[in-house]
Amino acid sequence: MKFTLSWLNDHLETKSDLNSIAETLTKIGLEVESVEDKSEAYKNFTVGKVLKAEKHPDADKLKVCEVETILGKFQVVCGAPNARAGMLGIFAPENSFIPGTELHLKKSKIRGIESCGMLVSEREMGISDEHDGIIEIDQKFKIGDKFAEIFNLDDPIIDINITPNRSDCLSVRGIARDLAAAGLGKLKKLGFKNIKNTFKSPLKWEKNFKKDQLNICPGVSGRYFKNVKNDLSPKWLQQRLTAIGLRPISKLVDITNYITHDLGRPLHVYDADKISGNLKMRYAENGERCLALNEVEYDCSDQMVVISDDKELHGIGGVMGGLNSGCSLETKNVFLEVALFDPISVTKTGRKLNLQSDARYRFERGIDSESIYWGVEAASQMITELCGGECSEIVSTEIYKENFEDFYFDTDKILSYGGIKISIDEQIKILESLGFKCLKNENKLKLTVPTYRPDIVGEADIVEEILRIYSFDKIPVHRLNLDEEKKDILNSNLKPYYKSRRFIAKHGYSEVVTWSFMDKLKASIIASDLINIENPISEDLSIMRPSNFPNLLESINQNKARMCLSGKIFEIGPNFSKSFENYQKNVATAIAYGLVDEDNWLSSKKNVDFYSLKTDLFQVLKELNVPIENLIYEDINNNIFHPGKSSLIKLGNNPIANFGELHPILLKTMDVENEVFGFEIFLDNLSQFQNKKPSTKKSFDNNPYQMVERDFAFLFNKDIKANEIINKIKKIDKKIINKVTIFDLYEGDKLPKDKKSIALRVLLQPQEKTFTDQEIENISSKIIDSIKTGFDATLRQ
Amino acid sequence: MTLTVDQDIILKKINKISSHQELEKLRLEYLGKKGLIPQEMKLLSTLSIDEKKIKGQELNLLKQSIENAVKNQKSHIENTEINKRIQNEKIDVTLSPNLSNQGSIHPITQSIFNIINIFGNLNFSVESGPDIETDFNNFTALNIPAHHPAREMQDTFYIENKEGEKHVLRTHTSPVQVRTMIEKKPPIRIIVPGRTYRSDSDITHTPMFHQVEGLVVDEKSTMVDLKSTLVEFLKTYFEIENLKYRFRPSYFPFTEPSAEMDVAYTKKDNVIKIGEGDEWLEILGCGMVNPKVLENCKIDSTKYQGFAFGMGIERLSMLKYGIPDLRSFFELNYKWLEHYGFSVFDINSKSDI
Repeated sequence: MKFTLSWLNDHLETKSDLNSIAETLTKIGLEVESVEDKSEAYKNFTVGKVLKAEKHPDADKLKVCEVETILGKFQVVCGAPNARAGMLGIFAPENSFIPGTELHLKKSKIRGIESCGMLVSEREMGISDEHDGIIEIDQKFKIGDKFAEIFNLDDPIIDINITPNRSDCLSVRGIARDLAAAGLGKLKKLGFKNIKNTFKSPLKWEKNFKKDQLNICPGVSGRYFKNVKNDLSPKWLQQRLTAIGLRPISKLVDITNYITHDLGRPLHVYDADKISGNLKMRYAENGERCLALNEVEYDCSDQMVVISDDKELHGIGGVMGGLNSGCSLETKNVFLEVALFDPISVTKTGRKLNLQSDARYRFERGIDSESIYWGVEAASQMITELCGGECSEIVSTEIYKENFEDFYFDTDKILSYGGIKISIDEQIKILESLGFKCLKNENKLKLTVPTYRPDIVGEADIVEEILRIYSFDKIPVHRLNLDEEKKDILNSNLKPYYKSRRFIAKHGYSEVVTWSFMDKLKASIIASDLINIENPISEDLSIMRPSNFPNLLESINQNKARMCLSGKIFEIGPNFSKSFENYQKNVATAIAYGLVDEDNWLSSKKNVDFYSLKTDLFQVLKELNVPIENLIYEDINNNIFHPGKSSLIKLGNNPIANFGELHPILLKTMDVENEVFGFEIFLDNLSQFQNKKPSTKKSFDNNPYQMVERDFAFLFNKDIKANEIINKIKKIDKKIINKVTIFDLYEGDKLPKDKKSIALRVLLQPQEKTFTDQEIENISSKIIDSIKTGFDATLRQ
Repeated sequence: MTLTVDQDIILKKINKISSHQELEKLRLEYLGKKGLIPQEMKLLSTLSIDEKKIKGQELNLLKQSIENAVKNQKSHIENTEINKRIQNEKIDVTLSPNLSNQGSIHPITQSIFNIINIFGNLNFSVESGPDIETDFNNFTALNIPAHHPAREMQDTFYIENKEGEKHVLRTHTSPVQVRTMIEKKPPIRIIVPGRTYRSDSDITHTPMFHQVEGLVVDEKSTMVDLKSTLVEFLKTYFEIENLKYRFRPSYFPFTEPSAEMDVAYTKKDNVIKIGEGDEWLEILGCGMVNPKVLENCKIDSTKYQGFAFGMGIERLSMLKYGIPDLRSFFELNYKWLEHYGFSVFDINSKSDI
């Protein structure tokens, strides 16, 4: 919402300067976006007198002028036909910045004659499109008078951000009222002259709605004006409209725009000679079309309020008037519309038609219901003053009034809600200055809400009104009283979600954040049951990601160009599927590819592989308290992982993670040419392991007896799985067998094709006394027997 | 009888020796079975008791000092040998080490950890909720009715083909307020960091971003508590005790009264300095929970009240860590991650340990 300082002063009697007005606006909730003071940009431009204007010796259309200015006399070459001796114009000295052309003025020679500075046109000053001649200044002004003052351009423009609840402040009047309440001056009285009616209106307002639709258009009022003159508006009006970014068009149009911004009352004026029969508010019929003022024809539907005469539509209610009956410079007779509309209905219509307007903006936020009365008077006064003519009696439909009930406000709420004390008298003073009527009854106030504040519906709103005018700055800051019982900051469901990040990063992975959405084609390769976004930003961001591998894989080629050929990255975030509870699961997804270390003279030159990734994953799981020795391996059958080089790991029925080499077809789809390994940890399933507190750890078993190591090598069939061998050995005696390690693995030429050799080291821990040789011998043969029979293996000597 | 050997001479001899062989030879000469000391020992038996005692002591002392001298000389010879050996052992200490990637924490996560820790110290606990929300939780319960202009403040992504109630990608973390109030009884004291979505994409907007939401519901919290909590948070987060801020009225459908907080800043050579100056940066929105929202969540608004706040995590991160470009957070640029990422061990505690 833009307005100028002088405009504000029409409503507010104040001695406050621009700065304190701006500061106060923000303080009371009307946040100042910008204050533009043009007098600065125009300060170099002053009145100059043309002393001589002689024809340029080498150019017929140019004149060489001598101009007297406050800075002295200058020779100026000028092409304007109206340049002549004795006139007053606006002089721009050299090096000044010309706002209309956005050029810095330089001393120059024009056809051989030196020109210092210039006499400017309105277009060059950026105040209109007029460029047929230079600006002529009335002789009452003196040399050196400031251009900005003469043209009222020294009027600062204030732009404020109005929150959607404050429809009353979509008017200069409302802003002035708030400022007055905040103690910045006095709100001037608004009085309208009673314009006499001299004839009977040939047009009437009608409305046609069912009984249960009375709120859709509660009423419309108007008046007929005849013999008006609709030429250009006076300068002051044009300047105000220009200042707030509106284009002056003609008196009648400008008046409606002015009253919209001045009083927050949208109006419409019809060229009465283009109306056939009476004007009627009604719902449109499906398929009816309305050619609006913006020269676009809109398809209306039966939920939209329109204005029609006997023949055609002349407007879309609360949004925009029609082009055919719009006022032109030739308009002689005018019919006025001052209507009320249901905010929701206007919003729906505007959205459906994708049509925004100053009127819609106000109607959908709710306007003063009383304005149906005073709006006619305000318009009548301005139209007759500026356009002359005569006016008819006021014509209205029935006006439906919603009952707004008074309510009680408990003045103690300021303390119990706001935390500060404000006396009842002070509270009343604030509310009355905002237009409320207050009836005091002990510590309660019976309140009548002003009709221009449809946003006020309850006590909480009144607390805000009082506090914001009293000033939020006066709300003190105190030391926080934290005597409550301390709860866990993170519950066990959230611990893996947050803690896993440091654990994964610790193993050399960089955390990234990517979109929760992804490309539809890529998504459909890896999953069905996709969740589509109805209105995506673009096709490649139209699916809620079912897996985060594709997003992470995007990084590989992007970073090749930056000469990063290896990478380890991860992201913690949601994956989505219709089959998930609440449609999402939180997953830690990581990928790794390329060299394991920096590629320099020290490098091991080893690439990340399945087992290095598995090492990372298992260390992370261990840090998340997952009992990794109890994990069960299952095959993965999807399009993300290589079927032979991947596994799902579970605890019981609980999936913990997927890991392995990524599927070559997925990589091909992503244009990735190197092998990539990845894991995804299902964080939501790890909460059961998060309750361990340091104090609940078992005491340390400091067994004093000498441990013994025994090595065995067996020849196995190739398909035997390592963890099965280890589990088998551990089962022999869980107490004594402390650790089983595979320390060598061989398959190759020296062995039969279907065999592999596995060398195991078993660490034995005696429990009650040191082992005897016999005891060691016994356990060793148990191990050998168990492996031989269990796996059809042979002991290698 | 006196000693036939001079201790000084023996020790000097030992100290001159420079090889293990010679040292061993000399040791045997004095201490070996047929060496000087054992020989002298043998003679002791010929002496009177008193003399035997004195002479015996002398011999023992002599033996000990010879032993010590041999031991010291042995170590000396060894050290000389080591020094000689390493004299030519030189490497190029300037050759580069292998600084493989240490892994890093994303600035958004670093901020979230930071925020959790600050509010954790103020007795808040962390809550979460789904990214795909019902229209009711995201809008209606928060007093944003259908067709209200307030809905235009946030352009919403809608989810396709949902049976029953309309689903959206949550436009703010506030629906978790609703979930928490419906599921739990007051007192409630939570923060909710999380992903949020709006259909906006340009230099200063991304379709996905992060917010942190706060909610307190009890029988007594006031605007004073609200302002005090947020001032405390901002001072701690920006590590500025004399932070210059403004607390000004605003509007949100779910709070009444509503406020926004700005912090002062200055911009010099494109570097933003927070906490002082005459320019203002909007940091957060907040207010007392609108009684209608409490009622929508089945909480008795005549008994309970409280406050709520919300802020953008990217903006907080940009300001604190000097990151100029919003979009860069979501780009997978390894160089950027290396530059702005945080060490796993940078836990931002007050003690810095």
